[in-house]
Amino acid sequence: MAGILKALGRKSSDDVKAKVSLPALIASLRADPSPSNLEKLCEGVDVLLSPPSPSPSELETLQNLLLERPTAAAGSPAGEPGPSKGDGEEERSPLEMCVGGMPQLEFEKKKSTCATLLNVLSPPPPLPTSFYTLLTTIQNSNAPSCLPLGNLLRHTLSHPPNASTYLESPTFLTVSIMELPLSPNFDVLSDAFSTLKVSFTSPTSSPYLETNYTPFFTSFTHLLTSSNYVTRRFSLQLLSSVLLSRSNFNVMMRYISSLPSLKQIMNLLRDPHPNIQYESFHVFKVFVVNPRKTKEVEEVLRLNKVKLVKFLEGRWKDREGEGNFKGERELVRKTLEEL
Amino acid sequence: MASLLNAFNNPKDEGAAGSSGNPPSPTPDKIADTNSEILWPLLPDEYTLTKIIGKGAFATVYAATAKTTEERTPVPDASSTGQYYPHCSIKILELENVGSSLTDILNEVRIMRSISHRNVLDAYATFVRGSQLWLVTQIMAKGSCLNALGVLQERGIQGFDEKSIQYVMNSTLRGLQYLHSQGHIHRDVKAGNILLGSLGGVRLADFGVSGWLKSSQGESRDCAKTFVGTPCWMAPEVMEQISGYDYGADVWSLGITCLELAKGYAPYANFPPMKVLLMTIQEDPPSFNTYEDLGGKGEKHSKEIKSFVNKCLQKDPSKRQSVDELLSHKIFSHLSDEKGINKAREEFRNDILKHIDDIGNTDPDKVVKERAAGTKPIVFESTPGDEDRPAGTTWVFSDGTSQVVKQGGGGGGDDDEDFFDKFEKSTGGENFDKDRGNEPEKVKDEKEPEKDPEKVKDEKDDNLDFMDEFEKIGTE
Repeated sequence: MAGILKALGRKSSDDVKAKVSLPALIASLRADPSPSNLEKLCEGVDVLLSPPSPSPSELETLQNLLLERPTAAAGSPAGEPGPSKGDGEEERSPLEMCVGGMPQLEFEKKKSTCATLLNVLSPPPPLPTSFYTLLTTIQNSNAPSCLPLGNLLRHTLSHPPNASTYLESPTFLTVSIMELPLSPNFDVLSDAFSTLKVSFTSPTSSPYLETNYTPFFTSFTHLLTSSNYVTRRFSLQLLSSVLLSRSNFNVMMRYISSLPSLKQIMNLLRDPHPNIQYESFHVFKVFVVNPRKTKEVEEVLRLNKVKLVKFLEGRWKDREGEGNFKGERELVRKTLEEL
Repeated sequence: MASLLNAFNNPKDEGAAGSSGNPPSPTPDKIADTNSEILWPLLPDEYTLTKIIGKGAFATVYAATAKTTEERTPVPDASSTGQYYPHCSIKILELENVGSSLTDILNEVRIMRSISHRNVLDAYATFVRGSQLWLVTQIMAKGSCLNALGVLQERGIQGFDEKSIQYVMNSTLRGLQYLHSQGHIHRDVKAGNILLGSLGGVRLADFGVSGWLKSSQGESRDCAKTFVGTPCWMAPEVMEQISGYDYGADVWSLGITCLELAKGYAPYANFPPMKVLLMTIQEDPPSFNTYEDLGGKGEKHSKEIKSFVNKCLQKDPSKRQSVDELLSHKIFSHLSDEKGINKAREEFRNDILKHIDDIGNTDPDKVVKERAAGTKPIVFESTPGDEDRPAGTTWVFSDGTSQVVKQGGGGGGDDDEDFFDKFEKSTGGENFDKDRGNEPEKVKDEKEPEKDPEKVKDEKDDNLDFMDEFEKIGTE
């Protein structure tokens, strides 16, 4: 113990920091995971992070202490604690115990605890799948914890390997796509989409989409066809930004050569709400402008081109000032006419 | 997995409420909603809208009560206690009117939902109904200070007395102190945004100028980029928009608000916006004398309040005092502890609030009486625009299935059937490929198009110029 403390202690006798024994705080939290013990641990971490801020190696020691799992006995792989609270509670790292304890914390304490965790995970180290499954499960089961945890989650995703761990975690498709963005609680819903936006702007998302194309888009259609207006609107925005980022070229080509996808987008094009129509136009345009359309796609566009050209004429006037929308609308109409 | 977040976890069913009156004891996985110990419903039908209390270009604010909690004994709003109180106000925003500034509004909602302080308006719940966003917030029965100033002026009283000003300023400063500690700038501090509870509670509201209620008819819908706040309260550095702005901008607006509370209006309120900008940037900061120079009545004002205003209205933001420093100003010496604050609150109720009627008539007994008098709650027709799809969009898909639209009788859009639909019906749909037949659409599983490696390589190059060609027209 003394070794760790000495490593954390400043060379100059900074007695305040020396008094903080992180291993002791962790031990007491393990013995009794009460909110007060959790808060004491966070206060200890705050002290250790306070100026003069720890050197990179000291920070690493601190992070390792928080990520360490107690029963990683030789032979058995690092225990994969089940996402639900009950089982596997003992094998959780201190970091996961903090996340798991979030629902019991009082309103302001949830924010301060997440702020502490965010500070100690800066820059974010690689994190295990269990961290993401636990965090997502808590977000889904306890709305008040959703927003603070959302900030922490998005911060950790800034480290690309974490983004792929998150995308490939078992709860990603089932909860982060199929539950959170469909929540009746608007905070949970908007937080879910902020996280999806961050996840899919990370470079590691392209390989994920290419290998998990079918499962991802099968889940994602639930958002496009949701009865919740905001879910439909956000998922369309997300889809167009995913398709049009250069690193997702193969995913785009595959998506715009599929007839079922075209049908779905054309149905969204005729949604009663003009803003939903407008967002779906930004996906529809990719189908039309694609110089290598498949036979099926080309035929459906040709079959409906008269109505489409008429439909697009002067539509969504109030959006003409945005980006190159006006030019794009004309290009799509011209391309349709020449089919 | 039926997530806990079902439509409404009715405390009664879960037996968490225990005997009525005391807030439910929070069991681990049923911790109450963010800002209060009580779970506010997430379904529009669980609310009765009783009265419109505010209207803007984008949003309308209603006084309302949460229905299902009727059997709870409502306890009048005590600004500090979290006691259950079924009355609330609901801000309804039509999201169809909001174009690109949608994300600004969502961020503001998220900020509101992550704060909780007795001098800042509590946001209880947010949910979506059709294309409307419903934000349920605490209701402040006596309305805003601006409303109070109006009522006082009708009775020939120019503004608040100095004691009341000190109390309101102190409460607002505490709210700002909390917001600043959370990293948020209010951006629109003025009497219109300082709300008063029926027991004398003071709370700051409507922060983050995303223009929910702000942009008037004239402006284009989405001028979120240009600052929309009213110039009279705007700090010079905000107007100049050179070096951006910081928490000090709220302190300047607070100084103007102090003058507004004393005199009934902001110093430059009677000038057109452009003139206000020029005077704020070029002239000395406004003060009590500004009113005298403009022929306002010369009431006497104490040295202390003049010094307080002077400390707020420093044109150079770095010279302007911070919220913490201002809170230790001597005019607040009697408001440093709970006892002092409670005493000042009672005096405020007797001096000012007794003249002011409730805006949302939410006094429990008054509401009941009025309900007996048959005030009908405001009921919405069906969600607008659900049935009427744009005319002429019955797409035909190559395998014969077509999206036949149930043309809502007399629904939105032009009434008579669209020309192409009629044409198609009369000619049996000349676009319609008869011999294809009409079997139901089989979901074909997508076969990934096979590509041999070399072809892929060169195909990739001209694909790239496809992207460039596409890039030429650019995308947002």
